[in-house]
This record gives sequence, C-alpha cells and structure tokens, in this order.
Amino acid sequence: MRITPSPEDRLVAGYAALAIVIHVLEAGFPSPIPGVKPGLANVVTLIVLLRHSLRLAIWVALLRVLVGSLLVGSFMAPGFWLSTAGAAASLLLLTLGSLWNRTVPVLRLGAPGLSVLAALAHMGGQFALAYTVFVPHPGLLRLLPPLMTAALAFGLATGFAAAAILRQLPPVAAGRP
Amino acid sequence: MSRGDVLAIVLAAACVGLLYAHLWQPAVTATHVELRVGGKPAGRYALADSRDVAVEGRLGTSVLRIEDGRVRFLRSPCRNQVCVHSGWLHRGGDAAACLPNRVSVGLVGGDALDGVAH
Amino acid sequence: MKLPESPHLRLFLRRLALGTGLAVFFTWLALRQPQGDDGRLVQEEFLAMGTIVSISLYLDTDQDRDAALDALDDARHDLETYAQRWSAWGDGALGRINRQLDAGERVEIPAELQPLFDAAARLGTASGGLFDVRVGRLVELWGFDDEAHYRSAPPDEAAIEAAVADLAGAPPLLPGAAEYGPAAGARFDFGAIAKGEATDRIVETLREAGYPNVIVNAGGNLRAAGRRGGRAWRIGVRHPRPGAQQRVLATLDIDGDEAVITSGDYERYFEADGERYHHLLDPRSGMPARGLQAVTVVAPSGALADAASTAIFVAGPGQWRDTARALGVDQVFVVDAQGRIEVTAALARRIDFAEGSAAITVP
Repeated sequence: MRITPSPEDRLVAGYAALAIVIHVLEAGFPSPIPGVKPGLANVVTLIVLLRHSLRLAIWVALLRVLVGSLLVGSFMAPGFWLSTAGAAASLLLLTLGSLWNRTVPVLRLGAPGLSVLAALAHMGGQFALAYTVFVPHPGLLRLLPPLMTAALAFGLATGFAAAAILRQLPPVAAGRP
Repeated sequence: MSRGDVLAIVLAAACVGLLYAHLWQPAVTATHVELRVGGKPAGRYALADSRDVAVEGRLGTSVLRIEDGRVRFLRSPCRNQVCVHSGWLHRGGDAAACLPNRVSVGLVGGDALDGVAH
Repeated sequence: MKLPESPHLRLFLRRLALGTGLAVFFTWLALRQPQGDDGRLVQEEFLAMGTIVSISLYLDTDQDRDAALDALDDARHDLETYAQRWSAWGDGALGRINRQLDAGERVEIPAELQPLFDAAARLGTASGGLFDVRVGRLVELWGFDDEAHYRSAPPDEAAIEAAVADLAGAPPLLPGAAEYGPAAGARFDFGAIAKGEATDRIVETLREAGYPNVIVNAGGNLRAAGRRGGRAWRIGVRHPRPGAQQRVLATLDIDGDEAVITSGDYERYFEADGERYHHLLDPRSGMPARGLQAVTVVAPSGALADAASTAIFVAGPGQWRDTARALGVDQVFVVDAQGRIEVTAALARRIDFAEGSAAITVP
C-alpha cells in the first residue's frame, strides 16, 4: 500500500519540521528565567495561520509538540503535558482570533496581536495545569504575573518576527491551500 | 500593525497589569519555608536554622538547602532541573517548584506572631 | 492645549504618554509598601497590674490614628483604676477588704467587686477548690505577692501547714455573696483571674469605642477580638523550657473573640537546692503544684481562661482533663514534667505544634 502525500501534507510536514527544529534548539539553551522559553516555534504556527489556514496551523502546532517532546525526551512527562496544555490554550485563542477576524474585519488582528494573545493563553494554560494538577501551592501564584509579563514580551517579539517574515514571503499561489 | 493589533496588545497588557494588582504582593521579610508535595503541606521550616531538608516526591528525593535565611533546591530527581536552576529564594512570597517530583517550596513571612502567651 | 500639527510628533507624544503611564504603573507596583497593613496597626504598651500590657488595634480604612491613640489612652486609664481596685495589698477596694479581714471583721463586698467575686466563687466551686481566690496568705507566705519579696528558700513547713489549715477553716466564698467573713485565715488574691478579666474589659471598652479588631497582651495573657485586616490574629504559645531555636511551642489563629492564657511554672519562681518553687500554689497542700510545666487554655473570655489555666495546672497530670470538663473549657493543652504534650481534640484541630513536638490528643 502506498501513501500518497497531498500537497497539503507536504506543507504541514515542512512547516512542522521547521517548528520542531526551533523547538529542540530552544530546549537546548538554558533559560535565564526558569520555566520561561521565548516560544520562537510559535512564529511558524502564526505564519501558517496567516498565510494558509487555521486547520493547517493546528496540525503544525500539535505535531511540533508531539515530535518535539519525543526528541527532547519529555514525552508523557509533566513538560509534555505542560506543552500540550499551552499549545491547546494558544490554539483555542488563535481559533477565536480567526473567528474574530471573520466577524469584525474592521479590527482585524494581525501577527502581533494574535501572537501576544496566543502567548498569554499559552502561559496561562500551562500555569493552570501546573497549578491545579501538579503543585497547587498558593505561593506559586506569585510567580504568575512575572511569567505573564515574560509571555507578553516574547509574544510581541515573536509576533513582530512573524510579521517581518510574512512581508518577505511571496504571496501564496492561487489554488494552493 | 493594525488597529486590532493595538487593541489586542493593550488589552493583554491590561490583563497582565491586573494580575500584578491581584497576585503580586510587595516583598516581606520571610521567616519560614513552606514545603508541599502535590500541593499538600509537607513541612514548615524556620529560615533561621541552616539545614538540608530531604523530601520524598513522586519520583524520588528532592533535597532543599536552607542557609543564611534563604533556601534553594539542591538536588531533585527531575530531568530538566528547572527547580535547581531557580537558585536561591530569600524574599517572602518567593516560590519554586519541581513539577515532575510534585515538590514546591514557598517562603512565608509577614505572619509574624501578634502575641505570645506565657 | 492645542495639539501639534505634525502627525509624527503626535504619534511620538502618544507613545510617550503610554510609556510613561506604564512606567509609573510598574514603579508603583514595585514600591507599594505593605501599607494598609502595618500602617493600620496602632499599638500602646504600658505597665499595669505589675506587668507589661500591650494593646494593638487594627484600624478600618476610614479610622483615624490619633483618635485610636486617644481610645487606647482611655483604656489605659480604665485599666489603672481597675488594677488599683483589685490589688490585694494596695489601698483600693480589695485591699480594704483584706485589711478588714486581717482585723477579724466581717466584710461587705462592694457592688463594683461583686461580679468578679461571683465568677471566682463559681469557678472555685466547679474546680473543687483548685482555683481559690482566698489564698492571699499562702501567696504572701511564699513571697509571690511582690517581686521584692521573692524568697531564696521555701517557707517553714509548719508555717505552710498552719496557713493551709487556716484556709481550710475559713468559710467558703459563695456565689452571689454580698458579705464574707469573719475569716482571719483568708485573704483575697485575684491574681489568677483579674488579669484575664482586665483583658475582657479592654476588648469590650474598645469595641464600644468603635474598634472591633483588638489584641491585648497583659503579661502573656492574650485576648483577641476581630481580625488583623486580611488575616486572623496569630498567637504563639511560649515553650515552657525554651531552647535557642525553639521559643514558641505552638501557634494558633484567633478569628473572632477569644482568650489564650497560659499558666506555667516558669513565670514567677525561685530555685532552692535544685528545686523549682513557682507561684502556682495548690491550696490543698500549700505547695507549688507539681507534675506539669505549663497549661494553655483557649476560651471565650479572659477571666475564664485565666482561672481555668490555674485550676488545671494545680489539678496535675492525672486530673487535668476532668477539671477542664468541670470548668466547661474544652480547648486545653498541657505540658507535663517530661515535656510531653497532651491536647484536647477540640484544640488539636486548630493548633500547630512546633516541629519536633509530638502532642497526644485526648478526647
């Protein structure tokens, strides 16, 4: 039996591969603030969302979390669940963002806006899981504001990076997903 | 940047600001380390007494060091060692956790006694 | 003000205003003092009833500090009057009664003294005589009436026996009595209940003055009401044999209206030949009660907690629980001569003992 990849499959695979590479590279660098990563892999998700579609972006993000954590070795460990929760929360927000763009085109969200909201959702989702399931220690709530500040800053950075890259990329050829 | 982006970013910043207003308390002098495993209290130690505290978590033993009024994760059986990299905690409200081992520490203070019966 | 025409300049100004706003906000967050907390705590400390009395008020946001200090001054004056009234050896009402008793007269109990006489009589009866306000002579004999009278050796056995016999022969103090005596062997000493009642009075006075959040520490007799802002009042109980590390044996929160009073053999005592002679005298033997190091009672009123902690201490290791029951207090813990802790179930639920102190819960 032969599996024939569709053009869309190829696209997902390519973007996911890129995102995975960034994910793994990022995991290799020690972070100055424990528990905070820039989340540069999200740039890829954003680009896919804005250039192609939400459906593709979800695929890329989920593949990235799965394969990335397999490679980093955190699969099924708390780190994996945290990534999954974060990705799920940020994808949910990106979905809402896409709906928003469809219903209120006047206030259309571009890469920076989507990125910031997704980054906050990502951090919020991770923290909610960590706090409710792993270590419900009231003292940890105090860490949330600085973590969210970091998420805000990194969200802006990845958003502008995605916007800059999007400007450089050629427009998607008609007829392709 | 579109107007929508500006709106989103301002809203996001406001949310973060609200979090600070609600959750961020100014640092107070810490007097104790509060230790929890899986969120359940697992001991309270005076910061004044330098010592190592071993605590059994889900994966194994985490070792905390209390020294000179501060505390840090010395060892933990987790792979990523985020807890150990968190370094020394010394202000009231500071906290660190080893998620894989379900061990968390928080510095408490400001609950100085209002009176001592004798 | 007219806005500049240049769109670039206007954009710049907008950004500048936004940036400044954010900077101010974060600076405010960082510099925010734990005000609203300590800034709302008003404290006064003074000497009264032979001990240091400290009163703290936690103000509501709209309450004025100076007005609170005035209220504290009023409470202090009230306490001074009260202390004089109840001094066993002074020239107040109780002192006069004692001098009349010494002279072999029958005494009339003034109306202002009657409520506490009545309470003392009831508690004395309920405790089976372990709490007794008629022990003034014994206290005096042991020199515990005044720090200047502390002895270096216990009194003569014969003198103690005589004092105990005199006390046993004196008429009992009956609840509701308006008169007492003649009883040459009896002398009133309200030292084991008046400080507790004084804390009740202070709390009541301040509550009426509009300050419901109060903690009073009268020489280690604690009485708290209300809360300390966002949290309950936090009370420690002194370790009867404190070490370098362990000065506090237990902590508990008081949220509401309660007294925490400890009677211990370390408060007023002297040592002779390696033996500790403390001020908690057993009216039956005339000797310092043996077997316990400390008794802590948590009760709704200071008067009750004060008298009960004394009676329970005197009852000793075997009988303390029964005495507590008889007095109607169910939140008690005792430390015995070996340092072992026994705590009632009702208190065990809410008290935290210091690390390394194991407490046995008794029903």
